[in-house]
Amino acid sequence: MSDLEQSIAEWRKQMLAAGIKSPVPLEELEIHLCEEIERRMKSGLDEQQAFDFAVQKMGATNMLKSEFRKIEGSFMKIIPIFGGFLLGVTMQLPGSLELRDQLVMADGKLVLWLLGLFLQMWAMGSLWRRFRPGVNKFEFEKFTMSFSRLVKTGAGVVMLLGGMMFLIPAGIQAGREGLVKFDALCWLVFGMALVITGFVITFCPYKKTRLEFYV
Amino acid sequence: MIRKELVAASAEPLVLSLLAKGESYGYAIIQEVKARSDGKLNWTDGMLYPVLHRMEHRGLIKSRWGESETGRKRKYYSLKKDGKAAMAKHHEQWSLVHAVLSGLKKEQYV
Repeated sequence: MSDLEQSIAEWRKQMLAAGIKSPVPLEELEIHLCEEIERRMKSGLDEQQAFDFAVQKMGATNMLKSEFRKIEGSFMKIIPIFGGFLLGVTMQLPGSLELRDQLVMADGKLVLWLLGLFLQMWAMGSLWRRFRPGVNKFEFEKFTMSFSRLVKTGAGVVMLLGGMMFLIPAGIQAGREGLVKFDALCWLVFGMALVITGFVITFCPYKKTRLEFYV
Repeated sequence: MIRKELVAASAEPLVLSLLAKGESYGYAIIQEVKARSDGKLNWTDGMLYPVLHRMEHRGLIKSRWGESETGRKRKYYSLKKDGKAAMAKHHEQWSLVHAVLSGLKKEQYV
């Protein structure tokens, strides 16, 4: 193995150690590195100088790692959505089965059913927003500020208020009687879910312009 | 040297516009941007690939593995339909910014 090949192998090890483990990005980066080395050698640098120059131009390993992780991260964000959908189905199922026998659902089953429905709607809505044909997610997040922000904030406030409406009576009942009834507990869970979702929608920061691509 | 914020914001429209001319690969994209900007837009080489992968993930571009004239493996990128639409939108927005800025500059010298 020549010195240059050894240096490249060492660089590859550093990349792997830094966490760039996916074969495609690593291979692409290595091909790029080799092209740059070849070009620099043609312009008169020796092997080691060309290698050092190419590595420096490639950028810091930790920066590359964090950039590639963001792409993987976008996939990871979908997992909670699927989780929410499954949880929603699980919560809705008992109520739905009961509905077959009783036209009106009583006690906490209705609340669980509603919570399940709410989670499914949220999950389906999130998936639709991400994957509907022709959507430019980047543009959607970055530029259509006013209307979407208004709708999101409005929905968040409604959820917050709705959640409080469910939470407070359940809390009062628990305080008065020293125990929480099953149906009140269900309303409490539903209210809390609404409050948390409303809070996140209303107050979460909007995605910032990506600024990571710099010299 | 151009500010990093501007370099970051211009990466996507530049890549889309270059790919609109025909398929290309990472190294060539960087070299062309450098040449066209007289070396003033000097990207950190490795940072182009996360941008390309992100654009591919969003369905703006597609890629295929091929070979160079010397037999070296290369990943070629080309524009997709959504990428063309995104490019048109970028051009519209950047033209607007340019027009406003030019108008303001002109007023300063009147």
